[in-house]
Amino acid sequence: MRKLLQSYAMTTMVTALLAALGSMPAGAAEKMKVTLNWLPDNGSIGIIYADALGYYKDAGIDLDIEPGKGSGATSQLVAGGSTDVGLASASSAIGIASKGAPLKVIAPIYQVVDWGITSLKDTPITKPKDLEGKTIALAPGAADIPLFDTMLKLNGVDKSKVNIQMVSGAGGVPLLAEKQIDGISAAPGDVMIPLATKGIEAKQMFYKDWGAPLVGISLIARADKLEQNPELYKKFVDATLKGYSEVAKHPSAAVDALRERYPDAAPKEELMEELTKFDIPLFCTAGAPGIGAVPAATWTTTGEILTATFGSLGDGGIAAKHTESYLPAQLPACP
Amino acid sequence: MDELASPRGLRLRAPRSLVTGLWLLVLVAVWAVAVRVLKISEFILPSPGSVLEWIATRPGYFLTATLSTLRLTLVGFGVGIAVAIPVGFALAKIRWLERALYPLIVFLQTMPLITIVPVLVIWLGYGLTTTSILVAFSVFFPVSVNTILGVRSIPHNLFFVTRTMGAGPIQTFQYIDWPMALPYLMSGFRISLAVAIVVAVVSEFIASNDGLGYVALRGVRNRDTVQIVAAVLIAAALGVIINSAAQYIEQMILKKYRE
Repeated sequence: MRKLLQSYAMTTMVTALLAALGSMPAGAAEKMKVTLNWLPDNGSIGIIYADALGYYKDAGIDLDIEPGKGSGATSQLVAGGSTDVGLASASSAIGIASKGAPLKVIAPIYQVVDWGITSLKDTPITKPKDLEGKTIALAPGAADIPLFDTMLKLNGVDKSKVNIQMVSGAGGVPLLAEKQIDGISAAPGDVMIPLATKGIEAKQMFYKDWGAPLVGISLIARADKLEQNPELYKKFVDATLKGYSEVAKHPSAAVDALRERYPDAAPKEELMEELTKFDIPLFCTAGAPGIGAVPAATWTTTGEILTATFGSLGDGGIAAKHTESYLPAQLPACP
Repeated sequence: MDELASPRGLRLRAPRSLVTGLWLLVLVAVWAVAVRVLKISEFILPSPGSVLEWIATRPGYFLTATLSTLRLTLVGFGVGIAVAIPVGFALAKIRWLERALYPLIVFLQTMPLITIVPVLVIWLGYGLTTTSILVAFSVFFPVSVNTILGVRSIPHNLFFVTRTMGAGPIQTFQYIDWPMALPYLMSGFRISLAVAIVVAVVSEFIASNDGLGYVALRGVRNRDTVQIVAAVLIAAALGVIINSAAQYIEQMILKKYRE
């Protein structure tokens, strides 16, 4: 009887073990968490579309996508190690890295920022000197504040003559429409599109045209995490860049995928207009080898501007704050 | 029941909920008329009709968000009172402890909650842990202070009587401290619940990806004033419901102890 019980127990254990092994996938997916720059929208559409197309799953990544609350907060989360990779403006990440945070930009997504001052067409701000005596809305903690300051400095504008109001980008739209302010520092899609839906025409004075062409939102990660698992990050970057490439080819399908996953995102028409008019053109600048890599000259300019803004970029300067080691050998072609 | 005086001196009794409902209707009517007469654009102030339509077309979305805010409020409130009540009793009973810790508690309370959010987010990430700490923090002070006041309000001769009758500390707590401090505690609960809902929505706005605060933030990002106002109104309605429930529970508990 005892032998019978022993053999029964042994058979049960072996069966359970085999069943457990059988239920495991051949190569278990590696968990990874990405924190977006903001709530899911056109900036992060490439990541969401890549996930919808199964690119991360195919690369063996079990991806958790977490909405963010601004580039500064995302950069801090990545620096603190709460998340594996972030989507944040390069200027925010480099600003934090210059204070000693072990952050690196591993793949620029928007190769240049399209921020600038949006003003009404009948009271336009067309050059930096026009800002003197005007009331301009800046979003508290926004990544474009260093650019605004740099643009003023490079163009000899006296900041004390500009009346600055701290208002969130979206909150400033009705103020501009009601002419309570003269301009908003923002991406054109954030202001021009909502104004256009109300029949109000606006103009954009881009910072990039007035001496401030900065690398825009990028994938960022902690240096130690990159060193611990370089292959994982290479696979992630590869899948993400493919996602953005597919967004450029099929914007309508990408917006559908975004809205299917996040039904509370902006209406499709608004997302499409912003994506095709303002966002996709930023995936590559002139001379870029492909999506995900900017020309060396853009990094040099970015370093100069940010050094002027922050005082110092810390050890190694701008060169130590970004790397191309995690880019795929074959970059997706520019749209 | 509210009493309304009639011209002949008779007193009419109207249910309180009816009076409140009437006032709300008047307020909504004023809002609707103001939007129409002053021709206020929808992106400045939407009409009540647009807001109600927005909510009615997305009941599941708002229900999920409301339940999330409710869960955060209750978790934060629960954690807050679980810490505040023992601390309050300890400070009320042990003078040297009160002298040592009370200034620290006041210091923590006067610290603006909003300023510690970025640090909490870096440490703990977005979500329930961070937001419930903020809610618990807001609950802690009113409840602990009311607990201290409740214990201090007990006449000393009662303790003298229980001591002479041979009651131990546990019996004294059970029959004197707890029931006598309870009305103060209940008042502290009600004050802190109102604060807890506000803090819950604000903390969802800045440190969470769920709840009514997140819905309002999404409205801000989508430049959708209707969505923002809808989230604010639901949060306010949730506050009224929780406050009414708290009042009812307070009455039941106090009635039980009086009996």
